[in-house]
Amino acid sequence: MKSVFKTALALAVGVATATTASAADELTIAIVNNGHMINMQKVAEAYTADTGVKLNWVSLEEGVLREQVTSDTATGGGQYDIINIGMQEAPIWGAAGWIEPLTFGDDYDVEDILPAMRAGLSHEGTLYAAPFYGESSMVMYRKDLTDAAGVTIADNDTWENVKAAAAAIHKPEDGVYGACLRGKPGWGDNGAFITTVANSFGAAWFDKDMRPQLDSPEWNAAVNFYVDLLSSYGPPGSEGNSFNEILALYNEGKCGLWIDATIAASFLEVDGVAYAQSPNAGNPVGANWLWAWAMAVPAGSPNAEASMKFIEWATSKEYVQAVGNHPDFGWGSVPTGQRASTYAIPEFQAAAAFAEAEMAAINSAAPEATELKPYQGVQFVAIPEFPEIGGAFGQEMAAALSGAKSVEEALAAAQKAADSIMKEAGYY
Amino acid sequence: MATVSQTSRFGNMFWTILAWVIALLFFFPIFWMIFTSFKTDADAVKPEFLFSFTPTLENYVNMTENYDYWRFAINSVITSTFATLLALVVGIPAAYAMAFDPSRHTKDILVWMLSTKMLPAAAVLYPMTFLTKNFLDIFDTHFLVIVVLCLINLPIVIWMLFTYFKEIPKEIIEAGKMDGVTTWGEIKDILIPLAWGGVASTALLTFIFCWNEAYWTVRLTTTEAATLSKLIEGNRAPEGLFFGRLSAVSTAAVGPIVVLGWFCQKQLVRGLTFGAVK
Amino acid sequence: MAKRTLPRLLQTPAVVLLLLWMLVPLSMTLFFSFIRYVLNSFNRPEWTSPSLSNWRGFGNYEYVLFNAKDFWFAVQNSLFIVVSILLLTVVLGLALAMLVNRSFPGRGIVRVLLISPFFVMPAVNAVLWINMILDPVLGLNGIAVAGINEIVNGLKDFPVLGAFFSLWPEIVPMSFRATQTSAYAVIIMVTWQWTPFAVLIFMTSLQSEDESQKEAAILDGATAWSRFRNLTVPHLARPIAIVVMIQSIFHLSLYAEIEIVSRGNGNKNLPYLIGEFTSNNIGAASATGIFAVILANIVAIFLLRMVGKNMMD
Repeated sequence: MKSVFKTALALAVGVATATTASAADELTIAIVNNGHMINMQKVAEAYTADTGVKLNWVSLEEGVLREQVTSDTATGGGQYDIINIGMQEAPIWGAAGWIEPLTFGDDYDVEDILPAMRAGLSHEGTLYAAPFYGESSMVMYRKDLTDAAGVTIADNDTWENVKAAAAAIHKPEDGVYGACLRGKPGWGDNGAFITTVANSFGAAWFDKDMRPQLDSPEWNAAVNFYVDLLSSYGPPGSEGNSFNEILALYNEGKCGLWIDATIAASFLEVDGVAYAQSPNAGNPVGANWLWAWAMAVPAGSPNAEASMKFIEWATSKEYVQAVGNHPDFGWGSVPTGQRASTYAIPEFQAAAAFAEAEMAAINSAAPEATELKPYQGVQFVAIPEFPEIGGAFGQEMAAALSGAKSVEEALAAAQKAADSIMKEAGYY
Repeated sequence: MATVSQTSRFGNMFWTILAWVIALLFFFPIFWMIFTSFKTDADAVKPEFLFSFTPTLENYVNMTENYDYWRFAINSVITSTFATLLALVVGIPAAYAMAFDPSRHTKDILVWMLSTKMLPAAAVLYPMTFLTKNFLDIFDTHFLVIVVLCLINLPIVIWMLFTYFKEIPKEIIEAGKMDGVTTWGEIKDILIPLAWGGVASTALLTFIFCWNEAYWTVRLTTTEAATLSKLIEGNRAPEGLFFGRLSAVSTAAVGPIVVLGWFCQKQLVRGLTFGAVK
Repeated sequence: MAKRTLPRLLQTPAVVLLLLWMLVPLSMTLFFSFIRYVLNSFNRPEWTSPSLSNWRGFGNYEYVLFNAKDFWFAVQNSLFIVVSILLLTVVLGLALAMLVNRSFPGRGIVRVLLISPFFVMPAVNAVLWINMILDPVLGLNGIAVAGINEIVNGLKDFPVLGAFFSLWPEIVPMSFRATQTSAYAVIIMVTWQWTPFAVLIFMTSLQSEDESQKEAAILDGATAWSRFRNLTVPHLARPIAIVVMIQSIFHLSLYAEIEIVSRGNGNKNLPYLIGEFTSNNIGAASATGIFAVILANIVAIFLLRMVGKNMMD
């Protein structure tokens, strides 16, 4: 029926539509347009040569990818055999039965995957997505500038010290801004960073009844601190900056310190970069996040078996070796943050100065629900309503940063939005 | 003019220079995009390389090697061409009938058609995705993209053609009928020569709109029927520095249509009236 | 009666196609807007399939209007953006059309340059402007401001002038991304793209202006202003109406520009709001969609009934 219909329609307008190949000699893979994934397209040519499986790549910007993959997976649209999802989606989609549980052979060595990653990509102990690369966050700062100003930034330093350091190196007249931080609205942009600050101040998104807590004094203190730090010592237009914008600024030598994804370290081209573990505000929870771009198989995919095989290859130890030994790439370009064994490779250690700091940051992040924070996720909450809540929150925070609203007004508006979304979703 | 005074010569020069300056300003962003596409991503954000830099084709090589530019480009050509043709095939008879045999409902039908164009696409995105994926199974086919592009442009096509056809004096056709010309002859010998300019500029404008459409083409395709607007969506904010890459992809995506527009500029100027000229 | 059959037959395909295009998805949207329908829910799994048993009446509408964030803001901002673009494109378009309607050296090239923006894809337009031109540090905006500051700083060292320039403050570049000013960025970029369209339409109609009438007016001693007022303006009334109408049709559903420039802070319209809901709450997205359709129809009634119908005579 399908092909008759398609062919008839195609003939009617005189266009030849390629008929979709059956079975598993072809896989369609949706990926985020990030460096590691783009490299994978080249590295995987070897996979196609070995197995004969042809790979169709759909690479999209993060937001568009999320929109398309969500509606496709939710309705069983079946457009993709393998999807690139993050740590926010994996446990929720696993719980909803949208994606297949993953099982791999013994050679795969699941135990080698970093525990924090495994925990974040699982629902009730079952792994639903395999990490392709992972990241935490850390402080990246210009040691030449801090030395000249006579300040230091230590691992897990206090926020006050970090702010003092930013003040000391802030020289806008020379085009150097003390601190560059995310301000662009979006739960994965400013939402992610501000949530880690709030975590370190002891704030949480929800209480145990899943009532939003954005009106708590901890949130107020955290957001006030963030807005003050960034508006005093940040570059102009910070409310429009996220990872890419800040990376460009940093490489231009315009940023004194930057707290962001550990992956940024592999893009930095400035001399004298030093790393430190994220600051905290005097309680045991540090301000570092935990994220992975992982691969999953939509439920009911006819090519589930072949897809699983591909994921097994792409997230394996062999894949890391394949990238490291690839003539176009090398050890500086291997995906990191997924496996303990990656960090033990001498060639990788030699190529990546940030390796140690990154692994320490990842290992210190705990995505599991705890007494203090009764939900899964570090810089996000693993519930289906979070993208909407985090989106509204991000917009309010940008409004506070740009001065259009006071911190109190912005938090109250975000609390109101979160409350009505949770009520609407039937939590209480 | 018999005498050109000194002041009006200066005046002329002033207006000429002004016209040139404004035209260059309008073109500047496009120039800047093309210019930046020959810089590396790192150079593109460095003020010291604002104008002097070592040009590179790196971005274009990367685009064709890693992003399969030609597949997207061919899909854009196919879908825009057939959507334009389909819109004309459906639109010409309708506009012809409305212009030469209007009934008292014609105006209402035209207004209604235009009002369908005002429906926000976002309002029906989810149903459309659901329908084409789960019921019709035509998601990500050239057929679907062609039909949707045709439908969203059909109201404009019909209206443009209607206003042209109305300009053609009825008497010419009546005279033809008197002389015993057949209907076919009427269309071939009288109507087509007279309406040719209008049909051509309608086709051009429709083609431009189809090529540049970026809501449905992005959201109703995956790989097979993905057009250049989808290539742009994939590249508009990749991780890392990207001004150079983005400029190259953008230049390659808008290049063909801008050049087409330049060549057909005269046709557009002559034909784009929407009935504005009485 | 038979005389009417052929014309009807010729119109049928177009009418039927558009009717289907309008009615089928729209009725689904209407249905979704009256039920509880979410993509995913931990608490209420039954809401994840679109069925009549999830009937909610006007609940989604109530939620969108009274509980959810930004509905009225989105309506106001939609109108603000559209009206600003219309005003700017008509004024600029008229001025430029008159400017290039004279003959002067290189007129062909000037026209080509001037209309080029119209051929640029909206998404390209947006990323080009917001990144490479308007960015407050890395874009030309930031570079230019930094340059001005540097020049001013240099002048401060001069003996007499220095005292004057040292009073100048450091200029901070305006930021357009994701802030209250991002609506201006959208207006700038869309005006850039659509002014050429207005120029094209006005140019065509200026060329059809009755020159003999103008010459007669000159002989009668009419001033340039009164010629413009009494001959050109009435002649341009129709093209202005057309520019306004066609552009409203396009700009009410702006999407890519808003998404790329603002991420919804300080600047969103109804289509963008629908997109935000679509991440999970299809019921609310559909109710917003129906509101957007109603808004579009109100505008359509104003524009099409008042302007469009006269145009068809």
